[in-house]
Amino acid sequence: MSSPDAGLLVALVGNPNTGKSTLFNALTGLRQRVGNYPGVTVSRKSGTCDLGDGQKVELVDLPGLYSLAAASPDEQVVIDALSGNIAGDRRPDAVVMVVDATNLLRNLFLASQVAELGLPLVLVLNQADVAKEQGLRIDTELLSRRLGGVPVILTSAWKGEGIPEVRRGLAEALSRRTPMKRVAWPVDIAGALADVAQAASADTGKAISAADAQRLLFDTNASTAERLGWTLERREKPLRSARERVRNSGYNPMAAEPLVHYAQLRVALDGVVSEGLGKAGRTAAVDRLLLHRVLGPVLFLGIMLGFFASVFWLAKFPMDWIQLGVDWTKGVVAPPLEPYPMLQSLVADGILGGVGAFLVFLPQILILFLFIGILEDSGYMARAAFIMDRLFSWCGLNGKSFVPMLSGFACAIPSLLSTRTIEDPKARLATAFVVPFMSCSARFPIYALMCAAFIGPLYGPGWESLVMVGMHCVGLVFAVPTAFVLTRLVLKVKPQPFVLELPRYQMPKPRDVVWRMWQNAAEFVSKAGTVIFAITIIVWALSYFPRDASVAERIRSEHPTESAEKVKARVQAAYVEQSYMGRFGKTIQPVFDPLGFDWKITVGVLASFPAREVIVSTLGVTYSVGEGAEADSQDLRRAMQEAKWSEGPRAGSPIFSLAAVLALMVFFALCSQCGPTIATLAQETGGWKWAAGSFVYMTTLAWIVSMAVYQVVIRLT
Amino acid sequence: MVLKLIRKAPLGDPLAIEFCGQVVSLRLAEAENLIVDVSADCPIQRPRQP
Repeated sequence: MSSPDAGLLVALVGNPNTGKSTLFNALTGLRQRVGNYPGVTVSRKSGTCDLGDGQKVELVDLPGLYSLAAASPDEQVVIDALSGNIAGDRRPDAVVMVVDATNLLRNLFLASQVAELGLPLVLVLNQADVAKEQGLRIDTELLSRRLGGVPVILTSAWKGEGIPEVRRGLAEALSRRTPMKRVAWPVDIAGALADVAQAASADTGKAISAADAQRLLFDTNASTAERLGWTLERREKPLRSARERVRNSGYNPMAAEPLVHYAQLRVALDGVVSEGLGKAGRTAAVDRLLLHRVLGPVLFLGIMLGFFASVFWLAKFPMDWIQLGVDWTKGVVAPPLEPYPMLQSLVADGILGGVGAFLVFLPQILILFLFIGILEDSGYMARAAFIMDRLFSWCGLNGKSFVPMLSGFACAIPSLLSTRTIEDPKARLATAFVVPFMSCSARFPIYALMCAAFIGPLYGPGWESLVMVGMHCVGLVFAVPTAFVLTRLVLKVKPQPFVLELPRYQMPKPRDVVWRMWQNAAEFVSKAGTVIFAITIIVWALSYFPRDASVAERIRSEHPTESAEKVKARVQAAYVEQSYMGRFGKTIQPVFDPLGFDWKITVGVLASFPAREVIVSTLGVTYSVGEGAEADSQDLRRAMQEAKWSEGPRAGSPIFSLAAVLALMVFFALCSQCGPTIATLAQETGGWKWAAGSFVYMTTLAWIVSMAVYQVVIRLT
Repeated sequence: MVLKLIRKAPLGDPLAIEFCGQVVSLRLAEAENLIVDVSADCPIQRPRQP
């Protein structure tokens, strides 16, 4: 990746759904860098743009927004970035303003606000192909003259048309440093702005820019005042007085800014756009079908089921291949290390196990982001949120929470990453918090083992299926009230209105979809992967140490006639029993006693905290069947069916009673037993506070509900 | 500027409203809080008082 020669920084700004990211990809190719802005979970995507004359600039793709009145962290980042108020980032030298050529008036409002910053600007009228299709003709030269001589360029980034012209226009803007014509404020509003600037400057001792004065006067949020250090006590009176002056001039101070901008933009656009005969209404026709009262939800469910099935089933094959690859590598690497058992176990179970633990999720993540990219870029994702909003809004979530919650039934990790599509930070956090409740595929082995070993044989296949389905619903039953309590009582933030643009339908650009999918996967591997790997190594160490060689000798001498395989299983069980994990399991078994868990199940539960699917192989070890035990292992089922309490008031009675079986499944349905999920939750919420909260809440809830299930069922049976 | 109700979501809420050439969703409860300033040069006539 080459760095820009001249060190010039150019910001790409525009409304959502204008094709801004497609233009960014076209201008930078694959020479991109992705990071985060300091202190927020907003991605900073930048790349090197060749201006065609040998000059290179750094182009930064800012999040899409409708106005400079910040209502979300993304929007605040744009304002801070354009004003040069982000630590470690400099003020841009120019702005490439991307607007939708089919809707110039509405899009130019943001351009007109950005013009107030006084930066050289290139106006890119994107989606020119759609405008042409609709019969719109745009006089770019006239518009350029009306806007103060800034380069105005028609493009179709999707088709790659107009890209060289944008490069040339940017070079021209940087050399001529032409800003866009600013709005001419009516006398009284100009006076009010001057009053605000003067008062703020006097109180803070800082020079107040025209753009900052406008934000102070027109915005209800206090982010600009806080950034400038203008306290509430100091600003209250001068702001009230300035707003009163605006009101006296006949404008509502909260509406004055758009009214003045739009009035002058209408004049600037007069004669610029002429309409001919074109095709219009394709989107409306598709919407009549996809948002139909009856057909809409049916098609929605069909699309979502296809989406879910793809994540679940398509990923299964590459996941199996990855697992086979990891097993094959273990098979190659482990035998030469036979003389060094600790090193062998570290490499095979710790390192390869750790790498495999997160690599195995990659196919699901790739497929999930591929489908999310297609749904977003086609325009259907907004419709899905529109359809589902009513079902989710009552508990503080919104329609966009549906996709992460549905895909949570496959795997919580990609689902957490997909909460990025939710703009409202409160709804995003609440969704991320409840996604781990969805019954992911890793819970399936324990359900399968318990149902096949106990429910099916005792009550028949009908009940077996019913319990299986019921267990998949347990998480959902608790997720919805959790979201309600979280959004109403804990996150006491004013909910954001669900104002969502329903964009025009369009064909997704494969390169953009694949590139975004790749970026998300790379981010997952680099961030969550390292934490997951570390957790796996720690758990391996706790399960391995201490390891006294005399244990193996004692077992061999006690069972001289048994097969080598059976003796090996007994040795493994003995080692786990005397490891730190085993000792800890025995020590805290009384905590799980009210749930009906003996020390072996307790060790299984503890070992499953990094990854819940580990429970089956751990039970295999503790019940001396071997660590290769799977959910359909007949030996393990038999060993569990025969297991009895050896001491205490339940001595002689089966450990796996109906009550204990149900309690164990409920515990796994609700408990936070997934290191990668916790790491990803921390990553997506910007810290460990919510991840730790989720872990404590889910684990406590799992214990309480599981204990209640055990105590009730044991009394009824 | 003309606000035009395009459709309701299949479950009755939110609404899809068209203005300035774009279609946006808006919940009924939030739509009730909207204040529409009708400017003097608005081509839409206010309803006549009886």
